[in-house]
This record gives sequence, C-alpha cells and structure tokens, in this order.
Amino acid sequence: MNRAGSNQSPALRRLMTEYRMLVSQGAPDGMFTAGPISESDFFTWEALIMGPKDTPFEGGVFAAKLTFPSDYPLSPFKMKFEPPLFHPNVYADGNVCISILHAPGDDPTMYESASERWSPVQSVEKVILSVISMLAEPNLESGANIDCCKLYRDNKAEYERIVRQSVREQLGL
Amino acid sequence: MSGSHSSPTQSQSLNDDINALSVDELDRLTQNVLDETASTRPLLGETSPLSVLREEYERGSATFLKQIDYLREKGYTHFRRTRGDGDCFYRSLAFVWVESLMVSPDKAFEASKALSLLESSLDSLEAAGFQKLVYEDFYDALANLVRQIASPAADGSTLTLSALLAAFQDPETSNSIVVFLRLLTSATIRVDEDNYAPFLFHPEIGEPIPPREFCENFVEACGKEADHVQITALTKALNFSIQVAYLDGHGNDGTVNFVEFQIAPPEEGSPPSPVLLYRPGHYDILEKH
Repeated sequence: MNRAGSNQSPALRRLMTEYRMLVSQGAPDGMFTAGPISESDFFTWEALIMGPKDTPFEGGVFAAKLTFPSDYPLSPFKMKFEPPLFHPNVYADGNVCISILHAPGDDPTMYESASERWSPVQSVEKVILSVISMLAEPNLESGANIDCCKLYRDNKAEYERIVRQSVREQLGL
Repeated sequence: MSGSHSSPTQSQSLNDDINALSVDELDRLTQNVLDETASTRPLLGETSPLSVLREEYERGSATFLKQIDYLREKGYTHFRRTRGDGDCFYRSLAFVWVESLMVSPDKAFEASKALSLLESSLDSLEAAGFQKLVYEDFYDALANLVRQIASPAADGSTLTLSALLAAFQDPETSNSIVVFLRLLTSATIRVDEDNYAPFLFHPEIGEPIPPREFCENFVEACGKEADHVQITALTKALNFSIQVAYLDGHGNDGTVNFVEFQIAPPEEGSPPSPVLLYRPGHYDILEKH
C-alpha cells in the first residue's frame, strides 16, 4: 500500500478525495457547495445549489441530501431535495430522478439510451452539474412529478409562476 | 426443472400466473433468480475438475456434453468459476493475467514489466478524459497486487496463489480491479476510436453506436458483459494474449471453437496463452493440471 489512509474503505477514500477537491477548487462559477453534514459520517452529504440564472429558480438556494452506498462509486448515490422542489424530474418527496444517478439498464422511467448514466467515472460534481442543467431544462420524457410535467407542458407560464413564488417564500419575501 | 411434481392443473395455473406478468415483471423475476444464484457464489472460486461441469449437463444438452468431452480430450482438466454478475470476463482475465506473471520463470522481471505497463496505461486514461480521482484507487488495487509478486510485504511474504485467490474473493479488491480494467478497456477504445468505431454495435439492438456512448453504457458501467471488442481492446492494453473457448452448444460435431486474442506471435517455447471458457453470457477460466 503506497498511499496514506489506504486502510480505509475505497468508498470512504473516494468520498474524502472528492470532498477535498470540492473544497480546494470550489464548484464552477460557485454554482453549488457540497460536503458531509457531520465529520462523523462521510456517507451523508448536504448540497446547496444556487438556482441557475435565467430560470424561474434564479435567486433561490436549494438544499439536497446526498446518501452514499457503502460500495460507492460502484453504485450511485441518492439525491433528495429537502424540502422537496416543484420540478418535473423531482418526485413529490424530493427524490431526484435523473439518468446519471442510474446505471445503464436500471430504468425507473425508461430514459433514452443515449442519456448519461452512472458509472464509477461520475462524481458528486458531475451529478450536481447535471442536476443544475436539469433545473434549467426539465426532461419531460422521464417525468417523476406527473402533475408538474403536465403543467410544464400545458401552461409553462403558470409553472414558472409557482416556482418563482416558492423561491420568494423560501427567501421570506 | 420446474413443476415436475406438480399436477397438470397446478402447472397450468402457474403458467397462467407467469403469462399474467408484464415483460417488466418477468424481467425482474428472472433478474431476482439470477441475483440469488449469483450472490451466493464466490466472486472467483477454487479450481474444480471438468467432471463437475459435465455432471451439470448430464440431464441436459447432448451437444454441451460432447463439447465438454472434447475439451477433456484436448487435455483440459479443470475450470475455475467466476460469479455470474456481468463482471466475469474482467475478473477472469485479471486473475489469469496476475497468475501468469506469478508462475513465469522470471517473475520479478515480468512483474516489473507489468507494473511499468500499468503505469504508462495511466496516460491513456488521462487522454481519454478520466480524472485521477476516478481511477487512482482502482489502479492501486491492481498495481499493489502485481507489486507483491516480487516485493515482499511488511511480513516478508510475497504473493502466493492462495493469497491471489483471497484477493479476488475480497469484494473490495476484486471489484476495484474489475473497475480499473473496465476503465482501461474504455480508454483504449476512446483514444483509438477511429479504429474501433466500425466494430461498435448496440449489444441488444445491433445498430451502430458512437464510441463514447458505447464506452459509457457497455464498458465503464459495472455488470455489463464484455464481447469481442472489449476483449480485443483489453488484451491489447495489457499486451496479454488469451484464448476463449466457446462452449456454446453450436455445431453438431461436438468440437469447441477456440478464438485467439493474440497480441504478438508466441515466442518459441513459451507456454500457451491462458484460456477463458465461454458459455452463453458467462466467462470462467479453463485449466490444464
């Protein structure tokens, strides 16, 4: 063994490396922060995501819990917005439904085959960046919140109004 | 196999039940059965005589039996099972690769050659766009094992066959090695994509598929089986020739097709390349003792 800390599990080692890099380099354009909620549990993180510019989410900060399996990064982590977010690809309970958090062949909502999938080459940073582009551009082909999908398709102005409203409420305006 | 003791009515109703399931439900059921068999088996097993394999087919296909007898006539006596989890090709290949280094006459030389090959393979991984954090731990798992072939560990021991088997049965080490070989296979295809592109097809649909998509979905992802393209890429990356014996019930003459994945013409007097035993959807290791 030639590296420090190699008596730790591969999952823990990888999570520490990812955290170290996020802290030292920061996210692109400061779009999010992410890290373990407590020093004693590296397998539960919180991410704070800035609502992307030129979307109804702009101005909001959205908290999500990331839960890592013990065989990470062989298996993907789970991501849940707490409180839940009103978005076509977020379930009513806040869980995020996005192809990059599913291995190929593991298809809860039949993603297109070309969509990006989980494999050990993905990382927290890559997933959160995908989620940020998902906020800007929902994928109606693999909807998680059906009511929200319908609203987005039939009355986008109303969808955007509801989202902006919730951002304002969140900010206490 | 199923329902041999049940009355016609019972098996009829079982059939109806099965027919009532959607394709999805049926897939899940099949997958559950596969998962159960798969997860009770060691990731890589002890070597067993081919007669054990023959017994499994005694009440089944006559062609398979003939083919197993053919292998025995060719001098193959044993096989080593891997778990049927879709990673079996990479796991089998990694095992025979490290094993072949260990049993070579000048193992210290072969191990150091292999280590420098592994080190330089990191350049392809970089060139393919993988971040260091993505591959470093997986690389260490394989490199550490190869290093132990010649350099004694803290307790003064070098790698033995039983320690090698233990490493491949330990999920952390074993799966890390599988992931590293997947990344190496993917990088080999990605950096040489013009050469590989004409041979890349979607395994289920059969349509041509772009290299990046092929690698993401069918190489880098755990549990995705390997076919000719992946075998060609990986044997090339490791500069390691293997043969695959196709025990697939094809052909009536009972022979087994051996396909060579040859890197260079074999040197005079060098031992024959290790053989992986293919049965539809699965790879094990074939041995002569």
